[in-house]
Amino acid sequence: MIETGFHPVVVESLLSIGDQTSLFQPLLINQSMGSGIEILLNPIVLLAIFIGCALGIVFGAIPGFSATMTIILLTPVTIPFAPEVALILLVSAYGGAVYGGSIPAILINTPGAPGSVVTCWDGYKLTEKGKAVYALAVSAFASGFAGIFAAVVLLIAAPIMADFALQFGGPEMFLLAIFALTIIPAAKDASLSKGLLAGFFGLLIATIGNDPQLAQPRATFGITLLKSGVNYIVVLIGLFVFTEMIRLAMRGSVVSENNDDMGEAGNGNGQVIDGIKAVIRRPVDFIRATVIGTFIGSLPGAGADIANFVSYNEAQRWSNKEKSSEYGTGIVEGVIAADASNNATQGGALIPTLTLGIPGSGSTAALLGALAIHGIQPGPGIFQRSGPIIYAMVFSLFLGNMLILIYGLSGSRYFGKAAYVPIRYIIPAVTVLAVVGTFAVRNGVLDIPIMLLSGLLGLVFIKYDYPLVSPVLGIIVGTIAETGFVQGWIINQRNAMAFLTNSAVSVGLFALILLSLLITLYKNYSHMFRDLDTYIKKSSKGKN
Amino acid sequence: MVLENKSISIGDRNLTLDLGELLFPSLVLAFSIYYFYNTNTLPRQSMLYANPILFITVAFAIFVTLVHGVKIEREKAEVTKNDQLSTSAVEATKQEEEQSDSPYFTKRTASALVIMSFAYFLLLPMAGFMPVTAAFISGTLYLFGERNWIYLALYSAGFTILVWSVFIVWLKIPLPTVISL
Repeated sequence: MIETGFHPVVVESLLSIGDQTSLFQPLLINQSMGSGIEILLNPIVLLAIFIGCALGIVFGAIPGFSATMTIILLTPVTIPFAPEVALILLVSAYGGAVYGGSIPAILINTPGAPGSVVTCWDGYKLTEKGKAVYALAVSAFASGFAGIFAAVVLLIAAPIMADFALQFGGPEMFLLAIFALTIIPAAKDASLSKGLLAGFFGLLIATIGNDPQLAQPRATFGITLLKSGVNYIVVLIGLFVFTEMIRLAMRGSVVSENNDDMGEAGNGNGQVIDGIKAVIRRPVDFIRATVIGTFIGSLPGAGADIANFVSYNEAQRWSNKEKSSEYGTGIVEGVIAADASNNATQGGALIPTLTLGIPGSGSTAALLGALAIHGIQPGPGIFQRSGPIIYAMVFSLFLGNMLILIYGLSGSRYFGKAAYVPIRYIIPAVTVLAVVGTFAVRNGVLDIPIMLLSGLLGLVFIKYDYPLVSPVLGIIVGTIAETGFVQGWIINQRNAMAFLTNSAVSVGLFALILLSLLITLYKNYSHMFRDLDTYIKKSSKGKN
Repeated sequence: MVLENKSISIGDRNLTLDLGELLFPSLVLAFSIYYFYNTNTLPRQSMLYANPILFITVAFAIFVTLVHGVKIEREKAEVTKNDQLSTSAVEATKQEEEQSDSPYFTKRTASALVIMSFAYFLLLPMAGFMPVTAAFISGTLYLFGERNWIYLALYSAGFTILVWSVFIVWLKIPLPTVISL
């Protein structure tokens, strides 16, 4: 019997959830949920949530450290842990890191992560007005509850999506993979041709190694390690960790090491309560931001970095003229728009990640790697295969986001001190951890130069506006795409029309691919359409 | 990191190659050529999926080259010069945003970090994890401006021992030391 520290009656009730005679049985859909709750009652798992959340907030508060990097660097450490402990620690760290980026954004006008850029605009202005604690309380409250809302959406939508995806055959999985690649340029507002080039390059890289049909080596450079292909985690570490270290080496710290001035904090407890009330009194702003964050998070490749901009723009657009002009001057609506959407992406991004095996963001791409390492295969039918662990992960989001509330409301100023760690200490440490983590993936030393070269490629991508997540997504979905294509092609007797119209789902996916291509084309060339429109109008006036 | 544009006059037109924009598509094309020669003798079933992906990738690489990497303009000397000046100004602003005022965080030190990282990988199997890692950390700390020898030594040794303790002693995860091809 595990000593949980809870009252025996409570333990008995919760443990018997799967039992037919349980009090809670009418509330539950299946036994997996009960098993998931049982996993959560393990004190080691609860400790993992506490530690994961705290670590995530600390790492997220360091400028230059993203949630993706946090998960990548923690994954090798969790390899020997039990799967439920490891995965729940990483999911908690993910949520903590997404929130943690808001702390330096508010206190010192420096986003800890790309998803917190917009938080600076109003958050820091509040700090300048002597309301730092107020802003931090708004951020913590909005983030925590947005994360809980998104977790509810995940809990409801994920089983439905996973069951629906069981109907997907070969053509459907191939088209889904292509759709994931086409939507990234649309979501990231990037060039369509560059986004697709990066994505298809990733698909091509994914074919390196022994082919699944006849085990013939393809483009392995004569290297034994490459017969099992290029591991996407290695490329992910290179693109998201090593690239960032090189950029930090070029630009240094954006935080002055001698500046310990976080602005006037004001009266602590009073400002915390005011901050909580401020969010409660703005339910429309909060819900809008949360819905936007959850939806954008569920799009493959789009994460908190997109969500906070879209949410802020929408909040401004929906305001009246007077309020709209106040955005950027230090209003609580700006902080709610940024931080609620930010944290809501966590639950949203986990939907396609768990149910389709397609990451909703760079962070969930890193989480996919951790899932694979611990023997969990995401994709259609995941709740049948690994229901208890997945439900435990989902339920841990509720606890994790409540912890974000607690940590944030009580101690975010202290977490913010992590932003002052000198960059010269961070760069060598993170580089060593990147090398160690790369090696830990499959004990292949030759993965290390692949990681380093990916890091250099990442610099080119950032400089010339290629979406960083596209090649990683291409490598991740490459296997799904190849298996789906070959199966579907052979079954449909090499007929392209039959392949594309294999089912209503494949027709729908093909339509979605065309739609995302059209949206991106329009965004890329809208200036040409406007110029053409102006030209036509001028010509008409001239004729009249 | 700015690569100079190259301009070539052809009659009354200027052909401008943006070498920076050509970097990634060129890499893709070079890899695709190698991939093609490596796989063109494989059975058809092995390449049933890979061949279309290869050709589509090459098509996108050529398209990006033509759209982003090559500009053909009618030769107008003043306009061209102004365009070049404004492009240079934009690039200069981007570079300023990327670079810091500190002498320890420059493109040169970033390049040194890359070289040291590759050297770290090459030396690992020769000298073992602990000495090479400690040397790498102390070298990069010095590169980025740490001049206090006590902090340098303590941090290098301390972090190396911490990583070794966590990975080898506690988690029993091997650290990189052996190259096996």
